Amino acid sequence: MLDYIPFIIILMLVAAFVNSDSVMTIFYMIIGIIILGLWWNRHAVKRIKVTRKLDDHAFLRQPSELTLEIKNTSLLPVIWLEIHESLPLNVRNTAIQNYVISLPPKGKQKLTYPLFPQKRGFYKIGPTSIASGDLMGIAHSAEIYFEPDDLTVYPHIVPLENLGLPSRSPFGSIRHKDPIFEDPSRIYGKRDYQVGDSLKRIDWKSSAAVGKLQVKKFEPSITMETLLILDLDIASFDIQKLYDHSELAITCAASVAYWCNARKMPVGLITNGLDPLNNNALPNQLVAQRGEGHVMLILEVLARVIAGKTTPLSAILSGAMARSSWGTTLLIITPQYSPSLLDQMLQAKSQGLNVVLMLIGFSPIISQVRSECHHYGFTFYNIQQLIDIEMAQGTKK
Amino acid sequence: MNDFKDAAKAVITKNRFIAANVILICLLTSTVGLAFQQVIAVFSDDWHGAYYPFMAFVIALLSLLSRRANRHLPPFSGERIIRIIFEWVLILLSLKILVYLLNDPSRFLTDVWLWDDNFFKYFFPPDYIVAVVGALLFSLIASWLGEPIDQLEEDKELMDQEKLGFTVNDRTKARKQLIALIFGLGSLQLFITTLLISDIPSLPIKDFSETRLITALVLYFVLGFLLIALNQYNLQKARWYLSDYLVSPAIGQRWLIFCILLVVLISLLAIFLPTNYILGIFPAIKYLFNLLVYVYNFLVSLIFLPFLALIKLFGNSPSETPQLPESTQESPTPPQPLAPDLMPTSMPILDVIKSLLFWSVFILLIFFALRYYFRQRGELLGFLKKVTIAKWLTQFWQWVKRGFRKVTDFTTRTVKNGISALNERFSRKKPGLTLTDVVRSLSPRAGVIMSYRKFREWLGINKIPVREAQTPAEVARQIISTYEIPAVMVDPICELFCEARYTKHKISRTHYQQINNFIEQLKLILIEGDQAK
Repeated sequence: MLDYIPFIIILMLVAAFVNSDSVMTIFYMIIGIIILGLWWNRHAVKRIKVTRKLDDHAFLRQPSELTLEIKNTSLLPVIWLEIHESLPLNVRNTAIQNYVISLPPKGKQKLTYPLFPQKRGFYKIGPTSIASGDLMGIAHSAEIYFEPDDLTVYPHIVPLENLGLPSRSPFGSIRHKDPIFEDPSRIYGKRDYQVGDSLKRIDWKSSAAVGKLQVKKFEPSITMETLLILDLDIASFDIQKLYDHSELAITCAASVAYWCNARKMPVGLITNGLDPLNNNALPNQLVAQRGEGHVMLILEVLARVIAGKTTPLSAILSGAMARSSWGTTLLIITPQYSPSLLDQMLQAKSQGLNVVLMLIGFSPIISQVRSECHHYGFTFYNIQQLIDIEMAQGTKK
Repeated sequence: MNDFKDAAKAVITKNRFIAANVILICLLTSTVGLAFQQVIAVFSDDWHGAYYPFMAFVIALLSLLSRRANRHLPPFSGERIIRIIFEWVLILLSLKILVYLLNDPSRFLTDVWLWDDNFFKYFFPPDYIVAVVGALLFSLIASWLGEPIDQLEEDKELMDQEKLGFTVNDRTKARKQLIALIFGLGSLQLFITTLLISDIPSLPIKDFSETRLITALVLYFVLGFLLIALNQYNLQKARWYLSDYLVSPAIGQRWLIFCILLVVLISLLAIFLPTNYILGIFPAIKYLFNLLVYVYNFLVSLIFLPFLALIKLFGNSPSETPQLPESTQESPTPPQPLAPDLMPTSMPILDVIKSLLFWSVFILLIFFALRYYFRQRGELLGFLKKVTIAKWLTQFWQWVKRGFRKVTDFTTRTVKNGISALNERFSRKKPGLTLTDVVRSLSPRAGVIMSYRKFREWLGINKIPVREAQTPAEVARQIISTYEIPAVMVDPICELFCEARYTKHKISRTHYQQINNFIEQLKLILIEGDQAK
């Protein structure tokens, strides 16, 4: 319609100078419609508020829903509103549905999108773009973008049997139920007094409060901590199998962390993977702790990390060795075995650490690695492919 | 969600739009019929054409229905041609009967006998020929308008083929064609209307109604805009269908309602706006200028009035004041307000205001339209910017704008100050203390602490996100690393604050002034740093 503006203006100038009522009325109509159209076009979209509701954390292959609430805060109706939500391919199993809705003054509408996370990761849900325009098609439709939200999809967790690991004591020795050495500074609970309990263990305040004798329970002074060392340095991987092997490594780490938590064992994580939440820097090192919250923290880091050019394994391993206490199990998950790694493992063993090596993917020197580990007393596992896990699950079912 | 898949509602909306399009085209043709009738009335005083709008409606309806019925036939197929011929024979015969019925039914019997003598002369009298020409014209207009409407109509089969790439339908072009037709016909009608209602002595004006002509014109544009709006919906609907959007069926109905509301609202507004003027543009400007001068003089005379009174008082005490010569006794007189005397005394003030309003609205609208047009045409604007005169004009415009802004700011400030002064003078409440007053009344130590806290707040809002837990030294390091400025600019602030907050050293007014100076300097540097970035 704007193509006709010069024509209209010339016509109306002539009409104005001949002082004609009718012509001026038409002129006002045309200009009025153009002005109102442009104004509507610009203001209708500005007063739209979009609220995105979704669970920001999801488990793999667990269906959920994303709800968009679109609200018109203006007193003007929005006759048409195009809504386009950007969803990553890995969190949906259907094509994205775009909508065109109409909102009355102060009206709102909810739109739902099914989510089906198919791969662990850190995703951006959105941005949502909305576009609207005037009724006459006077100007191009105005478009506004709404900031995306984050969605973390936890990694795949499988039972250790499916990884080919023994389910009872995969890391050699396991913590005894009645530890000999107890740390009196780390009280983890109380129980009723039993005959034979030392008088030193009695908690007098609690006993007075409860009305019967209570004794303190102490944590063992040597806890069987497990520290997962996950190597995601791109240089360690066969570039052709980078995706498969890195995912397999992360699945292994997540499964072990989950297993440890189920057995109330403290577990920690140190990885050289890149964290997209932290501008692709190294994620924080998570020292060994127990508890659901801590494991969820580990799983969250494992959900986000990706392989990339980063600090080599040797560097993070040295750091981990320096801050691990005696008796800690170091589970090294890496796709590459090297003599320098063996040296570090020996050094760790000499520090009193229990070293377990989990080699990811196929390697031509597996038998050699196996015999070397056996020779030096390290527990060794080789996890070949992600498909093995799936097959194992299928067999089990 | 189910709302989106309500197919029945969607079909109803589609049918409503088709019906609305047909009715609108018929009504548009009717308004052309009304104008046509008035134009013919100019040349013939004994002509009866009151039925023309109705005839135009019927002919347009027939034309559109026939077009829809023949849509599946090839353009020049025998069947189509035969159908059209039969249709037109029927129309012409009906028209003949109608002309007889409306003029003089008894003439039919006389004419039947005369047809043997000269068929063409007596079967086609001038009024019937005009009616036939009118019918052809109306049918043509309906057909022209119907073509792009057909192309824009929601046809799912066709759109499915388009999706698969078997066919292409340029709907935007069709819409442009529709707009061009509406504006083209409208312009013609406008031109004729203007010509007829202006006093041109050479026109053989017999008998026509000016009100009817104007009504026809206004109605034509109202209906034209409605048609454009409805077909914009069809265009959008096709685009959404092709892009696999799920469309709420409520849109169609709301579109229809709001189109009507919008056009009616604009039409009402247009009717109530001033549409004529008594003063021309230049007299109006001159009048406005004189009015401003008058107001200015009046204000100046108000200011000078007390002085004048004082001087007069001095002049009335002959014992104290020396006698001055006659020539020097003239006291300064305030400038007298000049009445705007441009308009004739008979011109009512309301008409003058209407004229002024008319020109203001007119100039504003033209300015807005041109501005928008040039904004849309970036290349044209680029070319104009290169032209020297345009540059001068732009600079001049900027200068005017700056000047206007200064005057506005000054006036606003003065008025605000005046109002606040009056408020203070007449208000019984004591004025509250400002933050600056509070800070001034504090001890130097508290002042230093407060200044630093304010600075942190300012940093947090404008520059660097400062957390509550950060120590002054951390904040200082953050500023230094972010802006790469020497530590001497920041450290004194931190040190002064720490001294005031954590030591028992004596803090004097000098310390307070020092921290404020440092803070002001640092703020300037940070702002400049941001601008440089």
